[in-house]
Amino acid sequence: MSNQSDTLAAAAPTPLRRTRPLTWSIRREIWENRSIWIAPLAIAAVLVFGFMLGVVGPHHMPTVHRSSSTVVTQTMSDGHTVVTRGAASDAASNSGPPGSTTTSKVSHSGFSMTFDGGPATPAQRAAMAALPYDIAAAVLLVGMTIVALFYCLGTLQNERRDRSILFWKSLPVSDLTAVTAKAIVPLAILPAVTFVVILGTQLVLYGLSQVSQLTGAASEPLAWTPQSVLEGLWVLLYGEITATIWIAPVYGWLLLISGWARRGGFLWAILPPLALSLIERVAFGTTHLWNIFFSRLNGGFEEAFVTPTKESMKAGIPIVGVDQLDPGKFVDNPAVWLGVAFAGACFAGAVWLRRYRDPG
Amino acid sequence: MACIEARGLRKAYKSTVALDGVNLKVEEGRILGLIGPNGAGKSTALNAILGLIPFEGELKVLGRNPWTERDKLMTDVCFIADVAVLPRWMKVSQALDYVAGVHPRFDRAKAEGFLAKTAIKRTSRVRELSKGMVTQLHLALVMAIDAKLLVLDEPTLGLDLLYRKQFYETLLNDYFDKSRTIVVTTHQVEEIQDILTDLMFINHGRIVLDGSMESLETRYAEVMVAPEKAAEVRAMGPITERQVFGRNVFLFDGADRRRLSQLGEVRTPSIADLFVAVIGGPKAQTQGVGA
Repeated sequence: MSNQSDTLAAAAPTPLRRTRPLTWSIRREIWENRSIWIAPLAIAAVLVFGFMLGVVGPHHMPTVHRSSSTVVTQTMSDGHTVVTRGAASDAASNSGPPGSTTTSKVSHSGFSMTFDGGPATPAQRAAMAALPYDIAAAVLLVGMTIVALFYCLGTLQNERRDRSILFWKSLPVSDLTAVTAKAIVPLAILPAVTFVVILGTQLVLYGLSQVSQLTGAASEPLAWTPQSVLEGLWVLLYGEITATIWIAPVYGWLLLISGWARRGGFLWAILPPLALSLIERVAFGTTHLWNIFFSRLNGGFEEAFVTPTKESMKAGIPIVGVDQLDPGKFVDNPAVWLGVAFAGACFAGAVWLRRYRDPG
Repeated sequence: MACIEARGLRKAYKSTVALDGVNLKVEEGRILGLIGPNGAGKSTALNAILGLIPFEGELKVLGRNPWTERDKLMTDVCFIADVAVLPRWMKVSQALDYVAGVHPRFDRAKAEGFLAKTAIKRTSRVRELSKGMVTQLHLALVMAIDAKLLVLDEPTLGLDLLYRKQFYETLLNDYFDKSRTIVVTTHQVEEIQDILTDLMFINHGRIVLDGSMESLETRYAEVMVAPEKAAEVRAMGPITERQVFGRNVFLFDGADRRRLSQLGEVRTPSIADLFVAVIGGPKAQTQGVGA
């Protein structure tokens, strides 16, 4: 790596300026891959637009549902209770035929949740009021993962394909620095950008719910208390860190394939795990490998959070609340560290390939 | 200390030997032209010098092993590998920012000064520039780096005549001084003939001719004679013979110039003629250089 001590140690006819190769290599990745920030912003824009349709859409107009500005609890003829909150009022028609299990459906701004077992509790209502935030965060996190996967698969292959690698290699930036910058993008830059965009989106959603309430378009604002904000940020930060560590071997694998495959990177990336899974299925009739490979794409939720029970679901306890974080389980899981080791090996392989491969 | 020194430099790719025991020495402050046909081993030699590929044998560039000490070496070595390697998505301003950010010897003001003489806008992306402008940009970036060795591998390939001429003029007038060394490969040898201090021909992975321009000018001579004197000149053992406008042109290695001048018009052969004579042999006498 071309670090400071190295550059200063070199015999110099003129004084050497201070340089920051890693910082600038990361910056150039962001310049090149504009999807790093455009994709989250685009997804956020769609979410906000969808939310606006949800709160001011035709079926939520005050003229239609002026009476829905308060929580309405209806006991139906068959005995089940329907709680209608916020701007939505179509819960009764969707709550199931007479004789079905007792449910309550809580809706907000176009989103709705159905709970079993009677009227919605305060916990359920709180969960409902935070639902748009959670959905926005989830969608943005999925978007981030997709961008990261494509980035890893293309980054090393693209610089060879357009031969720009000969320009990058003409500068005092080592292969280790260059590949480290590339690894930092999915491991830190994308999560950080997504974190900020999620926060911004949630703020906009909150602002919109306030405005729509003032104008009478919606009945109730989204929850936004200092405590809920801090808890939400903490859960998001924890979730992003664990999810990134959990999926790191996939990023590493794609980076390695990107450094190795001359063409058809996508096929090379999916064929080996697919072939191994198939061999296992045919030979032993089991699907362990498939489950292992596929589980890496599930966000690490099961590994990092308390597994929700049916009771907790019924009670309306938020699935990703601050009480559900389980770092101990995550850290104690050998699969997590095996994944990290695999990611590290792939990273080393990608550096080696960039160094040893004939760039011409 | 020599800028580049190689002994028994060898590089083989599976069944092909790209460099076959090359010995060379390039002193500081020289402009060396490395000339050879396609597949002769030019680019392999340059890649080895730049630490882009591992090699066998001994090779020192500025006193360092380019493969094992590449990261340190690249502070003092610059190269333009081709005309089209600047990333197409990059803005001109980003290229300046990036090189300034990673290269300790880059003088941004100097690069801005070079660019000011061109029509290149800071806000343009590389893909929006013509091929000639991309080369101007690359040259501006490279010339603003206070490097000891500059390696140019076909830097003007595909450029029109004006850009090609301007490229070498700029390099010579605004960049080169006695403390720098330049190694250049090109097929358009006539364009660099006047700027070279040293010449090296490479063929089949071996150096087949090596020397300073002065020594080569002394060593080789070309004589143009009328057909009736051809037999006499032929008897003196020229290395090649060709016909131009009905007259015979013979190229000699180490012949007596005074005696030749009694037989016809004597001149110093061009690099192109020398190339054909040394590399092409009799078969290539009607062909152009390189290709």
